[in-house]
Amino acid sequence: MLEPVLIVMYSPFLQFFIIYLAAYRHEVGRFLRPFHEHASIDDWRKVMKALGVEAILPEKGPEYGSDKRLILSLGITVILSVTITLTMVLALQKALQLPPLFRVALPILFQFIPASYLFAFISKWYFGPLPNQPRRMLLRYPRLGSRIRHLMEDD
Amino acid sequence: MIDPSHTLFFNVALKYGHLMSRPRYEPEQEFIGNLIHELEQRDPDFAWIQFIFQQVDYSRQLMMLKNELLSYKKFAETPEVNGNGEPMKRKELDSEWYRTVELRCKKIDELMSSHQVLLGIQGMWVEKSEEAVHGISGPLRSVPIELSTFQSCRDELDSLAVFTYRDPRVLLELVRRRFVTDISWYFRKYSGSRMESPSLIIAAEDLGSYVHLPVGNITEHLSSLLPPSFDEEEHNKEFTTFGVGSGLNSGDSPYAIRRKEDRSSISDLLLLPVAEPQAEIKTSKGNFYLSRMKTIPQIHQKLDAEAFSRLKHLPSLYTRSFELLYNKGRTSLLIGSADDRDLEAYKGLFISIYGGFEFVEESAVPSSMMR
Repeated sequence: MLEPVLIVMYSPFLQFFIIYLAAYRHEVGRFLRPFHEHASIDDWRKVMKALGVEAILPEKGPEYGSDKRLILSLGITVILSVTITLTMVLALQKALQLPPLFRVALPILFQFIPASYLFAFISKWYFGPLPNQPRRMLLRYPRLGSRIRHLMEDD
Repeated sequence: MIDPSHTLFFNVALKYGHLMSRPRYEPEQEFIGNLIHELEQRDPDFAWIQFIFQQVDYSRQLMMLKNELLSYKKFAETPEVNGNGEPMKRKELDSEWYRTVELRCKKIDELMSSHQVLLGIQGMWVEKSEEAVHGISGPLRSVPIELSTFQSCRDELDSLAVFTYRDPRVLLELVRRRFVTDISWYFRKYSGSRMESPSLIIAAEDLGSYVHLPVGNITEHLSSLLPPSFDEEEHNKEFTTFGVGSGLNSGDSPYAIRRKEDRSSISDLLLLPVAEPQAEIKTSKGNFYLSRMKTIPQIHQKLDAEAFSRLKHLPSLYTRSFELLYNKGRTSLLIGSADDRDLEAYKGLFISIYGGFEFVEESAVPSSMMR
């Protein structure tokens, strides 16, 4: 069985969590109420069905929120993480003179690379834009509007 | 065929999310005329703009927000003590947030002293396909929709802005005439990580800035308002001679005469707010009743102040809508309500202000949209 410290050292989970807390510190509960668009052709089909409208839709369209894209990104994250882990294991075997603290800290720090990639993807397509700073008079614009949070709330 | 690549949805909300802001369009009564004019200039394949509104009472939340702002002001003005025990000016005193506290409190007071109305502005935009424009195919331009008429609605604090979406679920909301009625979350988040509320809180007297018929000189240039079977004789007889000018019942045009008759036949009850805003908000049972104005009168002169002020009676405890449909160079105006009797009252009020015109029933999904 894997030691917990090894999971932390050689996987990007903790790093992803740290980046999330830092980026969404003004709205930590965002993952519970993410806001993003659903704009694939399948989403269009669902809407047309709900409206009871027979509409001809093209076979392909803007694939926002596509599952394929999520699987691809998770795959890239795993490949990045495994590559970094193997590189670190090999490098640390050769660098015996490194103090123990570095031998633990370096793999953890390098796992921020796949974690950052995954976070950028999840943030863009699932969690939604980063929260604004408190007490700012002006907000960024253009941005994704808040109307998207309330779509089909009662359904 | 619906082409998702050329379809965008949008809502209009406060650019900087200051809930107490009361953006208005100047000059008064020219908002809808200029909006239609802009639609004609942009000439999309199809555009649908809904103004959905309802009487609400957010006084408690507004009061809490005011208290929060005043607490911040007090905190900012309380000197902090440095390591040597000397009082020091807080850095908050130099912030824009502090400098505008009083203005925002004043806006909150104005809102609390009026009947409040929640207004949702949302819509759909279908751009002409690239084949039709340039002879090439491709997706809709990625730039957000820019409607300068909305962006010109502003006050000292904030202005309106268009927020664009590609999410087709907005279409369901449009068809069901749903808008966000619970904006408490945005009050709670105001001093924290603020977002714009999807619906605006406005004073009842501000509603006339957004919901009115096209009037003024601009109507002469609005070709999309003319009926499809436009003929010059009918035009001269029915449309161009209508004037409001010096008073609600001024002029001898057929519209002015009918307006006098209609006004006398409408009970006073319809001219008053349907109920106090403190009363319980009425919720629809899922149905929404709609009527389309058969013809849109060309009103060359603006309403006088008395007639214009009566537009503040438009909101009721039921959700009501005022909608613009632009389809292949033609504009239609729709009004709707969540209650059939309320719709009759709504129509009556419009007729009493603008004169007689006919309405025809309209379906929830505009037939022109699916053509």
